Amino acid sequence: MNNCIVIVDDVPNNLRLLSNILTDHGYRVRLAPNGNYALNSIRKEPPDLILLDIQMPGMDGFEVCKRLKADELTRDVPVIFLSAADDVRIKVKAFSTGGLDYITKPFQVAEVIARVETHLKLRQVQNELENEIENRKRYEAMLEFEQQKLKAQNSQLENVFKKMENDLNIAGEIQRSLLPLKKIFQGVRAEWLFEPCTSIGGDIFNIFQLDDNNVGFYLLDVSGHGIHSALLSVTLSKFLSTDGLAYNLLTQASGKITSPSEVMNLLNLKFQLDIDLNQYFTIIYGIINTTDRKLTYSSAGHTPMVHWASNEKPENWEFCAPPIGLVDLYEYTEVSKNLSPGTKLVLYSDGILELTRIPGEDELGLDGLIDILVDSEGETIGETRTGIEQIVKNKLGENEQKDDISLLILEIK
Amino acid sequence: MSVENKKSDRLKFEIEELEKIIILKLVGDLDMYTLPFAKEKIKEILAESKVSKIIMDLGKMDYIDSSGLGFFIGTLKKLRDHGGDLKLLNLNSYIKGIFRLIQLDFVIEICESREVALEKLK
Repeated sequence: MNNCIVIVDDVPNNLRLLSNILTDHGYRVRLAPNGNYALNSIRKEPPDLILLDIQMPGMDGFEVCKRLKADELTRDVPVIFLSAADDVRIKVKAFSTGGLDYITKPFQVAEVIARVETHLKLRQVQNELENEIENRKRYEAMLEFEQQKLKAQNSQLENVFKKMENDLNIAGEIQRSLLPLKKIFQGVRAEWLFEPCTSIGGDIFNIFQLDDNNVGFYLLDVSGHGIHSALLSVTLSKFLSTDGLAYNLLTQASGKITSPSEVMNLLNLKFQLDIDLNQYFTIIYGIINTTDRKLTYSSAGHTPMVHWASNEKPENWEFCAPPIGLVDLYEYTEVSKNLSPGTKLVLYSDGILELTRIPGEDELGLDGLIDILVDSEGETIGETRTGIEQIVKNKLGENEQKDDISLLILEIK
Repeated sequence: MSVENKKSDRLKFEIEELEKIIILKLVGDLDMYTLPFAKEKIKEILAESKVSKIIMDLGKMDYIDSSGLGFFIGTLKKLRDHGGDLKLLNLNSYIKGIFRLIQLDFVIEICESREVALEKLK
């Protein structure tokens, strides 16, 4: 739409002349013969520009301009003063009341058009800038709002995460509470290490007095690690306890102790592999008769127990049998061995053997574990345990732990 | 957490079908993280090709952990439920050692060659 210009002048000839010039150049023109009329018209519908004569009877141009500038509605409309006087003081006053420019009569067509066009253009650029600033402000406010929203969501997430972490830690505490309650049994001492790769793990072990003459012990490793493995390991520790509950597999109602192979068969019956969960476990379960120092044990696919008699080299006792849950109705067997005083038995999960799968370095392996044991010759099992713990911590270093690590050392008196 | 993408960079599959027998070559690592892909693949084979006899070629396996061992038994059970069977091929000495130690070789047959495996499954 064409720009609209209001011309204010008390001389009709001037009005006509300017009107003709401007309409010829495509502007819409509104005319006002005096100040009051001009103010009303301009307030009613603000134009894009005002040409304002200074010398008028009644309200002069300066007064009109002052009032326009005082009014929110009209203050931004550019004003160009018209005057016959080429007097510097008048020009200065024109600018100080808020006029943007000044045209001296008699009018030169080219000058009028040039000044009008310039100020309209300036006005337009100013408008665009103002719009741009307004848009930016709105955009920034929106951004700020989104940021606040994100912040809130973040802290919400953090809370959920903290709560989960807290829950996991509590679950870990519960699992740790299922580990051996004491280290000294009749005729047997125990030391252990338990380092699940998260707060909780799929490894669990225990040692307990079965009756006055028999100490039972086991160490098991549920496939995988993390919560789902931990759930099964905790369940299993309940089945493998002596707290007299009905589902305890270790002793019968008559008080008779279930043999290790029979315990394996019962476990294998109860815990067949769930195809969807793909979960099974390996376990060593043994009974030490402390009167005659006789060990009877069975293993289901577990890494071999290390047998270390005093003044002899440690040896691993391989035991061929499938993990619990993989082979239906497998008949587990058991082995009996006589133990000499001072003999140590070391049970562990494969997590310790697989330590440091970092490029360039070999896994610790069973040989590595046996080397560590040999180096600890002459130490108490407590010292051996602390030594192994240090090695595990060093090997793990900054690396992410891949699997649960557990170790149980028994010493026969 | 659910596994969204159905491909793993660490475990890949090469499949061949011969007279209603699938030869599935596993390439890479089989552990608790790649296990879901392996299980998905078996499900897919059972659903799409309606074949329940599988020969798994382990010649290109780099690493198998305990979850991986469970996978073979799980697959065997699943295939037998569908009236099929599973044979294994090209086990390296490490994996063969584990199989012997935990006596899985009594449950899943390890074949000397592809021809023997095919003959036994016919």
